[in-house]
Amino acid sequence: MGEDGQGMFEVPTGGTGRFEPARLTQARVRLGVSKTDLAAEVGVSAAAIGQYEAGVNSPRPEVLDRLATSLKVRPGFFGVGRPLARIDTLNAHFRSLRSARVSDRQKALATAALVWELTFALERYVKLPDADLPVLAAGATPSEAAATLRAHWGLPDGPVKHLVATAESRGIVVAVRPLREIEAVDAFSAVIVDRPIIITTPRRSENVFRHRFSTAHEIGHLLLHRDPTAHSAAVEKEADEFAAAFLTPAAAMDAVLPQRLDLAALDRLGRTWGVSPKSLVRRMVERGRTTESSARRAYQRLAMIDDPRADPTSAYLGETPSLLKKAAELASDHGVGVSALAEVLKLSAAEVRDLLGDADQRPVLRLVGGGD
Amino acid sequence: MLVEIVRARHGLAAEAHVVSESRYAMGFGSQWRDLLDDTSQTLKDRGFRSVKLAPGGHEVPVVNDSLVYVWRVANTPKAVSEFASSPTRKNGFTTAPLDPTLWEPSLSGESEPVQDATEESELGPVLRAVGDTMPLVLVMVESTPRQLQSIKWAVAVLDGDGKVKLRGQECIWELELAADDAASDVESFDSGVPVAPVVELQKQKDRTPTDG
Repeated sequence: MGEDGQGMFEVPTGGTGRFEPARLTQARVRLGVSKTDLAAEVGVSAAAIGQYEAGVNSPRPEVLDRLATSLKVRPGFFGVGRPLARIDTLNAHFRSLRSARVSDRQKALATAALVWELTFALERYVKLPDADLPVLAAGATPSEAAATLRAHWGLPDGPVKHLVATAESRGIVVAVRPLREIEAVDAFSAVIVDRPIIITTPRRSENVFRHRFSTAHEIGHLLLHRDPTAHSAAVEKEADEFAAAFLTPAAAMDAVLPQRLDLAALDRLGRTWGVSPKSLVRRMVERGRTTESSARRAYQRLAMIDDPRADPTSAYLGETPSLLKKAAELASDHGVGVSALAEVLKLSAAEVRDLLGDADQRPVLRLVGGGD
Repeated sequence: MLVEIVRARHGLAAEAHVVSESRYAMGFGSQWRDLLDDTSQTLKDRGFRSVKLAPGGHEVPVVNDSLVYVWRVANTPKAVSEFASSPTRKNGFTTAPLDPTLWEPSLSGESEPVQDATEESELGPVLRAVGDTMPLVLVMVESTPRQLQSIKWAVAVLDGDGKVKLRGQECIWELELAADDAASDVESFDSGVPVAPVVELQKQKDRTPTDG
């Protein structure tokens, strides 16, 4: 960890028994529970929850236990003494701006903070690759940034092979979180105490091409928008341009794109370069190979034949996140297993496994109708 | 040229299929007549002649004293042998050669050199001496609304039972051939073994989970 981010830490000097208000907020927003609902569940007033979070009052021990049960953490979770990434000071990029309400963003950031805390906890035992992102010249365009990153990472011309493994080996933590946690914000990225973190959802990762584009998009944010002042459509467009230029550089595309819209040819080209035919159609428009109206018809045809689950990311070894899991395995081999990490993070072992990506992926079945 | 005609027509038919939101491929299959017309028109523009097959009146171009019939093959095993099931197509096997011309137009779109004309005028009668009907070159297009699969051609011959047999069949375009053009020979994004991130133990091995 570098020193720049030390200000983001909260390392209180008090004993571990003291109540940390920010932890209650973190646990609550992560589950997306309102103060009112939480208050009803634990049997206190909504104002009391507000006072706990503001640090005006501390909950009594029995209330603390009920809060822990409701928020699915250990009672010790609310104690001081552990590094805490202040979620309100994080810079993060969210893809779905329109649907990202403040509460959704906070929920996602609480998740990102936990992913970072797990990373930080693991780093006490296991050395992860240092974050290795180039510093761009001021005013660099997305395509210049893409070329700079390719050069910095020593990537040869041609398709970017195993993008997620490549990013992780350069110190970027990639995590796929369940939709229930960050459904409204989709994929996003953040730099927390010098550690770049990219979080995607099954919606983005169920198809390898989408997952790669999404990951490249977030890398674009990490490079181009280190200090975002405003989340805007222009910023998202820049990240898209970066992803296109990084995965399919213009010069290479000029050499390989077909002369006319041939979806079968684009499909094969996409399978070589690891991008969707749709993004190649867009590239053809950008490179002046086809018109917008032809592209629109091509999108329609693609939509008709598209099966987003046809190429699951899990089938591609280098596109499935593995950094945290590998670190946890190494730690476990040396006596620091999941339960020890859970103790450090004051979470349940199941929660830690979930953060590591080992959660039970089976769908949750519910009875429908006729319940009475 | 034939490949370009077929691919262009396929693209239009596939788009029409999407726009119509049809649940059925009948509309897509009706491109057969356009395929014939597109070919005939393109060749006509280059100076080739054509004949009209009665009774349907389909115009079929003539190249090198052969009828060139471009046809989208139905997805049934007997499709080719039943090709001559319509009277119009059957007549394709009994069309007399056209009157000889001094020279044939060129497929490259340029005028043939004069010396070739002599050669053509000598070769024409030889070819015609083989029989009094023109050979029918069947260009077979295999496609679905999703993609064009292959284009093959062969000389079609009608046997005594009215079944069509193919001779000298050759594939002039297929999916994989196009792949070579477009994807080139670069290594794909998933080739080789991923460079996994390197993790190693921290030097302070005596830390325990409960350390401060």
